[in-house]
Amino acid sequence: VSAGAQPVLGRYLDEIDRGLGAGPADRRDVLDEVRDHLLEVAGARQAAGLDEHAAALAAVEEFGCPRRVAAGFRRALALRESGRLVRDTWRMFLVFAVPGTTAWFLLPAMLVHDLDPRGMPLVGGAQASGLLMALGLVAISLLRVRRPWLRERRLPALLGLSAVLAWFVALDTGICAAFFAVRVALAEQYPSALPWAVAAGMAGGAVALRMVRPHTSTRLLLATLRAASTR
Amino acid sequence: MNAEQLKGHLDGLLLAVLEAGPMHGYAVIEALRAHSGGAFDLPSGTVYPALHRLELAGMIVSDWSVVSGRRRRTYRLTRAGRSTLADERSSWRAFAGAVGSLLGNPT
Repeated sequence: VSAGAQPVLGRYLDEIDRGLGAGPADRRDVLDEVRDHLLEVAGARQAAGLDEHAAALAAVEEFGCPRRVAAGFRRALALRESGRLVRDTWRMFLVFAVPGTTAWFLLPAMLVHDLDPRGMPLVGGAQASGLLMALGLVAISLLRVRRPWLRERRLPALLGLSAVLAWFVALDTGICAAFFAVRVALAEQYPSALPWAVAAGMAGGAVALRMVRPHTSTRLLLATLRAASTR
Repeated sequence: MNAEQLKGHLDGLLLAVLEAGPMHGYAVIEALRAHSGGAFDLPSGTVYPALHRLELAGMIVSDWSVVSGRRRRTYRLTRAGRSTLADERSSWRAFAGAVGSLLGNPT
């Protein structure tokens, strides 16, 4: 298929692209796959005697209305993205559960006075409970949420939980970062390290936000709820 | 036969087509058309999202390659897909047998 067919295919692919509403990597995969199909069909039609423009038109017509096609893909892409988010969030929650609970319990003790050794069982208990909770949630996710994004009835609940966890992880990371920065500032022997500690804390918070994407979980949750209410 | 009539069977049909071996989307659609004697002539745009859903369900997996300078996605059945296909086949036989016993012979 030569340049004569490209405007027809290009416009059609642009229309699908506008309706996909997914990340760049997912969109690129869909568009490459559709383009490959259209070029195959157009090539076959040309071999059967159509001119290149008519062959391209036949290919896009056979593929279907671009808005409807995009809607079909959008659902599958949203499920794929939701699945990735749910997995990432649970994984991050596990990673952050222990330092998070430690920070929550150590922060007041360290800011107000030196840590009382008698408080250590409390800290250990907090760590263990955080770890157990995370492990329990991950176990549930493995047992019941193995393919959650396909069981669409559960999707809003899963996304809601993931959004809550994602915000928790992001906020918790920020609190941990602030805690370490304050600790360094209070430690008289390392006053010059404060800017570095603050920068490291901010970087940690930014990385956590980037990894768990709480805003995306929330957006997908709202989109899923909207779709469920209009179905 | 239109897409609405095929609703509920499309996943099983796609798995059955892929049982023959790995295929890209265009080949899957052509095989559907050919094996059904032209009866299953669906808009291609409905088949690709169905393939994506099957992949999300773990029934099939896809690999990318480059053919004639363009990226091509090829699908193949997984073990879970084979097992689902076997289930689909046995439930279809039971269903078709029951319907056939009523509609197949005039009383």
